[in-house]
Amino acid sequence: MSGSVRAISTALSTSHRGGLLLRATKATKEVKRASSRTGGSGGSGAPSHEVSGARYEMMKQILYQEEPRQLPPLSTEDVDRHMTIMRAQKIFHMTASATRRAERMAKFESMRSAYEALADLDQRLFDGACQKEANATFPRQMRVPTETPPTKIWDYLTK
Amino acid sequence: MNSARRALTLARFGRKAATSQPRIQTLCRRLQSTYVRPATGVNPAYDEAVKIIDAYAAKKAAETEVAAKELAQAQGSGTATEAQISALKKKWFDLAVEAEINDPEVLWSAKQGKYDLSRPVFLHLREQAWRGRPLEILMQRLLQMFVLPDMLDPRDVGTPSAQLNIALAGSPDSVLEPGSIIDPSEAREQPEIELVKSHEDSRLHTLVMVDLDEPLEMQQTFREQFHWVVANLPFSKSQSKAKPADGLTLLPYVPPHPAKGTPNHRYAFVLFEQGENGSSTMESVEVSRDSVLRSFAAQHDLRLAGISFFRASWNESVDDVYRDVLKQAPPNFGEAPTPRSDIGPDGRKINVYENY
Repeated sequence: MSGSVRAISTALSTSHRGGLLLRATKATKEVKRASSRTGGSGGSGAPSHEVSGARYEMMKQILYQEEPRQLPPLSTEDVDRHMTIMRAQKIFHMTASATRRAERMAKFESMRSAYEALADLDQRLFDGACQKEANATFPRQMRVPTETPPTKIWDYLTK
Repeated sequence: MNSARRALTLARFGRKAATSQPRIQTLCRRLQSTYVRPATGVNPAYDEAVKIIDAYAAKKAAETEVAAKELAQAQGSGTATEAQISALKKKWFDLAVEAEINDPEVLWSAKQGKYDLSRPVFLHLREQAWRGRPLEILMQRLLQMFVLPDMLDPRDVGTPSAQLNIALAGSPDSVLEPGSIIDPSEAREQPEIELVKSHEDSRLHTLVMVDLDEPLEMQQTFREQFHWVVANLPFSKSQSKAKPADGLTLLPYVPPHPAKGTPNHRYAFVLFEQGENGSSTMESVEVSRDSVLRSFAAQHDLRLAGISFFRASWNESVDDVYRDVLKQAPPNFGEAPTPRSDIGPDGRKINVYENY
């Protein structure tokens, strides 16, 4: 048992990455050998190490010295308020998503009718508009393509 | 001090983890007779929620009025088709429901079972309450106890559109659960029938009560027998109860009479909507007690509206029904007792051993 602990501590103390990996695998083998010597973990949940000592006492104290916090009991009024808030939230999200969807549909419809009008006017221009540009990352109408990216990529504080 | 804390820690180490769910005091809710709105100024999120809900309700109420005007126009014009008018009705109904369904007072009343049927939101909530669990139970019982393949084609029935409630004469306020076993004496008087519909106007219905397990001794099997047929019963979304006296009794009520020795009889109540969308009146026709429901429905152009059933088996009160109502000797079915081979003609046990 202590042999495996020593193996793990030696593994952790090395700084060389390759050496750490090598010693970690050695340590796991040690742990496995130790556990097989003791017959593996007794039962499904029993720890394979001793749970006694000052360290464990300190851990137990820190975890269990205070009563776990209880949520305050909700009165019927509070439950009513909660249900009303949940319904209002649902309405809010529903209307917001409906608005966004309407905007998307309107945008698509305007694009579609524009393409239709172009097709009626000039077939050559229409075919050109339908063709996708190769290696395009942003619309050329947005800004002039440059050799190098801008010095200030994104304004984090305002956007 | 240290040892006391240590003892406490060790004691707590073996303790079960406390539940983190809030304790909700629901006793107060059941004792409330009227809805009490929660106080504002306690939870700012609640105050904002109230504003959002009110704004949404106002918007939907405005849309409902527009839809109502459109519907009135279409109905008044006379050029709109049936389909168009029904579509506009549905649109108005859905908007009216949407306008009020987020109101906490409405939801509280619905939960208590207080439905103000003049408002569309309560019609909707009542139907939702039925479809939630009672309809599931009804369909489960109908199929589990084979009422449906035996009596009607399940594909024709589909999902019933209305709720049929049976209340026995002795206890008119308590509705029978479908498939429940009752004492035959409780059904000696005709039960009260209620049909709960949500959408339609007043239509005429035919009620049929069928015993699905009447024994046929000759053929050693069971068959359907009609117990009660009443036609021209008016039901609408506001009138859910109809007196049998208002309709036309084609077969007078015969109480359930499950014979001794037969298994649990299933007594089904079926409410059909009469032809031409419930407007055609049924004339006085001869209905035989030996009719079959499928052919009866086909013959008179009836469509299923509601269905329910209960079960009963023999007890001493049934013999009274045979003697008083049916004027027959009460039958006694069942296997004859097997003759005992160990008892002789003198009633004493036959000696098996010679020298005994």
